[in-house]
Order: sequence, then C-alpha cells, then structure tokens
Amino acid sequence: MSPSLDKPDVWRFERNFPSVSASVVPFLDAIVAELEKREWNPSDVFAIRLALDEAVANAIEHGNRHDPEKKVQLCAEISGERILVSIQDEGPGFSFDSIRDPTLEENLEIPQGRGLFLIRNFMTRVWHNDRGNVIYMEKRPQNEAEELDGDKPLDP
Amino acid sequence: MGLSNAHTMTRYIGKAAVIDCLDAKLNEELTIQAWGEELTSIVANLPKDRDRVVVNFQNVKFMSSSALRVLITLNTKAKVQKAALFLCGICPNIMEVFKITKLDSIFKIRATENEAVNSLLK
Repeated sequence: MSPSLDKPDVWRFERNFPSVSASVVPFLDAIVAELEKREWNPSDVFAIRLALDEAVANAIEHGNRHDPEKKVQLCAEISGERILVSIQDEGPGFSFDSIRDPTLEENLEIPQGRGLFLIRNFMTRVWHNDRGNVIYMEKRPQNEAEELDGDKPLDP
Repeated sequence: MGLSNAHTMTRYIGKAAVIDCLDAKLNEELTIQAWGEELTSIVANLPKDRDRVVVNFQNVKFMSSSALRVLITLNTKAKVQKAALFLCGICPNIMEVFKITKLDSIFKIRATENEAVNSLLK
C-alpha cells in the first residue's frame, strides 16, 4: 500500500487474503480512503466499493468455496485517471458467460446471482482470464469514462 | 421505545411494525447473516393484528448483493404469510442498485417512513 517510486502519483497495492470475508474489509476500506483522498466523486467511490465487495465475495464463495487454506489475491492501482483492480482465487475457474440475466421477470425473485451483474454495470470495463479465476476491473471517473470511445481493455 | 436487537430496532406505529436497520454498512458476511436472521424472526413473529412491516434504511449507506438476497427472501416469506412489506429511507446510491437490478419493481418502496406507514394504513 504505497505510492510507486517511478510514478509518485500512482498508488499500488497487492495482498493475499485467507478466504474469510472479514479479513479483506480493512483493505477495501483503505482503497476507498485513497479514492476519497484523491477527491473521486462519491457515487464513483460507492460503485467501486460495491464492485470490490462483490468480486471478493465471488472469489471466496464460488472460487475458493470458503476454504480458509485458499487465498484471494487482490491487486489495485490508482492513478489520477483510473483505478485498475484484479482479484484472483484458487478455484478451478468460472464461466463468466453462463450468468443468467437477473433483470428478466422470471429471475427477479431469485435471491442469488446479482454480484457479477452489478460489477459489470458499475465499472467502466470488466474482463477475465481464460481459466476464469481472475477478474479485472477498471473504472475511470464518470466524466472521463463518458469520453471513452470503446477502445480495447488495458492490460493490468 | 422499541424492541432493540444488535442490527435492528422495531417500533409499532398503529398496525405497522417499523424496523430500523442500525448498521451503516450491510456488506460483511456475518453482519448480513445476523441482520437477516433478525428480520426473518421479526416478520415470522408479528402479532396477529399487526401484519404490516416497514423496513427503514435511513442509517444504511452501503449494501452489497448479499443484503439484497436477504431482502428478496424476506419479501417471499412476507407474501406467504400475507404480510404487507414496505421499504423506505433508501439513500440514492443504494436506490440506484435497486433500479439497475429492477428490484424496485418487486419491492414496495417509499421515500420516507411517513409515506410507507401511510401507504400501509390506507
């Protein structure tokens, strides 16, 4: 959790956590604190925190199946223009294309299945590795994101 | 005075049970589980003449999809026992989550506690 030596305006963070929800909360709070220090729009900060929470919950629940021996790796990089996050679990991988649409009428009253949907809606870009055990998320401040013209995702 | 638990406080206004959610953040697994158990217990044990429930979120500033899961289950249980369930006091950021997921179409949501209670008393 420190500024990069080569780029002083870039804040980088990398940590492994056991698959226990409470263990990651202080570090998600730290990411939010850094965004607030940089005066990101509160609704963007809310969106990022929500996406982080959902991705970590998916990694613990669906990836590592709550096995405390298995770790979740969280990497985050915040610069003046974006936040880039990757979250990796030790599970066999997940088919990100197999998610049902939770907004269809027949799915509205099914309790589960909204985490990835929210991540995709609240972040500027979301992608994953071929195996399906790493999710990458990028968000740019709202006014900058609106100016993007749909170019390819950036490498993490 | 109301009935106070770790994550909720329940008051009665006329025939309506008003449940205040006490946590500012509903995103940690154990907190959500305990909060959900409190809500479920309150709705399951409503007095016979008070089958109307308002869940007030005015203290809640952050909520994950796990909390939505609890509310959807609660809504289903309320329907089964023919109790009317309203939500109120939802902040704009969380309301956006309800809108994006279209859950605003299955829940009865009012801006304020007064509006929710008045809807139930009609």
